[in-house]
Amino acid sequence: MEQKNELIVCAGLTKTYGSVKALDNLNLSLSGGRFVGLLGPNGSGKTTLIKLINGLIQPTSGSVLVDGQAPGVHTHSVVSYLPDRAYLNDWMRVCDLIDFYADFYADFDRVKANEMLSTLNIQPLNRLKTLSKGTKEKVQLILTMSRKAKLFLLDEPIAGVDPAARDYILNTILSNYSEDASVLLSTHLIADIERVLDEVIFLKNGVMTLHESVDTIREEHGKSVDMLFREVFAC
Amino acid sequence: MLKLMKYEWKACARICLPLYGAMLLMSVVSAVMTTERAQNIMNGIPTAILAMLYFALLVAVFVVTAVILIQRFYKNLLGDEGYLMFTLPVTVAQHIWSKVIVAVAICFLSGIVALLSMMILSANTNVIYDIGMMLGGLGHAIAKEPNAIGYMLEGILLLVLSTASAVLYIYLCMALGHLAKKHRVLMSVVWYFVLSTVAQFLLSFVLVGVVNGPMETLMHAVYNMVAGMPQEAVLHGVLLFFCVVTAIPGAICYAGTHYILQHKLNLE
Repeated sequence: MEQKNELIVCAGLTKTYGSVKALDNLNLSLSGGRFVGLLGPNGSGKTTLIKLINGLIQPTSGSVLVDGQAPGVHTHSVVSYLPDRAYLNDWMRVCDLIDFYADFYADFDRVKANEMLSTLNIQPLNRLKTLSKGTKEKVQLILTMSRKAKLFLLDEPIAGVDPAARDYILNTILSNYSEDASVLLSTHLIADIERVLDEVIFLKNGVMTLHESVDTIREEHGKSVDMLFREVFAC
Repeated sequence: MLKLMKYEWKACARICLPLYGAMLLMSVVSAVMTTERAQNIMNGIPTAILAMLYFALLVAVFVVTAVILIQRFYKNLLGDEGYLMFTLPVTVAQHIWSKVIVAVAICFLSGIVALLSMMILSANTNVIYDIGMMLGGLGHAIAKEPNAIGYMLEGILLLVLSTASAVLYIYLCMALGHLAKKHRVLMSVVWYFVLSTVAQFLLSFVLVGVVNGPMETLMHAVYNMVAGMPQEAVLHGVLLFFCVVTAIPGAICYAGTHYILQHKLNLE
């Protein structure tokens, strides 16, 4: 019966690219209302996992369920996803994109999106093409966070943004998801987000080496997540 | 579905419509420049240059239409934009249909624009008079023969179906190319030629088989079936038969594309 609350369930999830195992037999379940950090060095399988949850790539073996269902129309309507790349049409204006999101996602909050745009001084009439890389990422993040989704999948949301905006964005993320919604955020900039995390997952070469709550880590290991990360993944 | 089509149309129209506009404008200018008085300016050099430009633009209309058709599928679904499109709460079938419908529409539009521009180019009172006569004749024919509307609709349906089948065939090749791990664009082209060859081979195989084998019995059967029917029914039957025949490969391509996008999607 406890399974009912699970937002993501991965069972034996494996993905290989040629001879490389990007994810190896991953078993994971995440419940609602948690802020989870997906941590690992480059090439550890963070993006692969997030893409699998979104159904953008198919598992080589094993399965992934989101809100009780395989990735599909239903899961897309409850998951808000921020990819690690520029995925928006360059020629569209910011306000066109807002229309686009509002058209397709029933849970999109247009007012909130416009509020955030004006706080960050982004003109809605600008075409995406004319914006800088960092500003584009801000636009993408605003669009993603303006939904009332059950699960937010954020792939490297702060990597390309200046530190000042980073704080604003983190606060935005924090203040924008409701109590029963979860956030799964992948990054290698741990220090910046440590204060907001509930749980962490460590990925190393496609294998999950740790999945614990931040409090437990502090109690048992007596150190911060950042310190533990540097220790575990020391070169 | 309608929303998908709306955005698909916007994306295509922003390139196509200006081009079509330019095409029509160009044909007006060309038509003016081919008048006798204009041809005498500077030994007719401007006229010659314009004629060349006109021709280039005409080719461009068709090339751009084909490129857009391919690019909208490849970039929008299989490229980075697929990250957005495939995480929308929309089914794969809706994606494919919206793209096919808009693609067929721009194919038809480019055809109509090309026809229109040629009409403008050759425009003088005679042509306009001829067109008027033709339309009048058509009206008379329809009035006399109510089946004519039926033939016309069936003809249009056949045209739509064959365009849609061709578009779906290109989609299938791209989807198959996408299955490869590397060189996906190259593989799409390879698939295009492989499938074309196979289809031709199959077709000739069937034809030869029919001609050598049950050809005579088949002809007899068809003849007997047709013999008792009025002419109009036969013509309707033939047109509809061709519609079905063009729809079958289209349906196969659709099923293949749908299966790959649904079950084998692997965005880079």
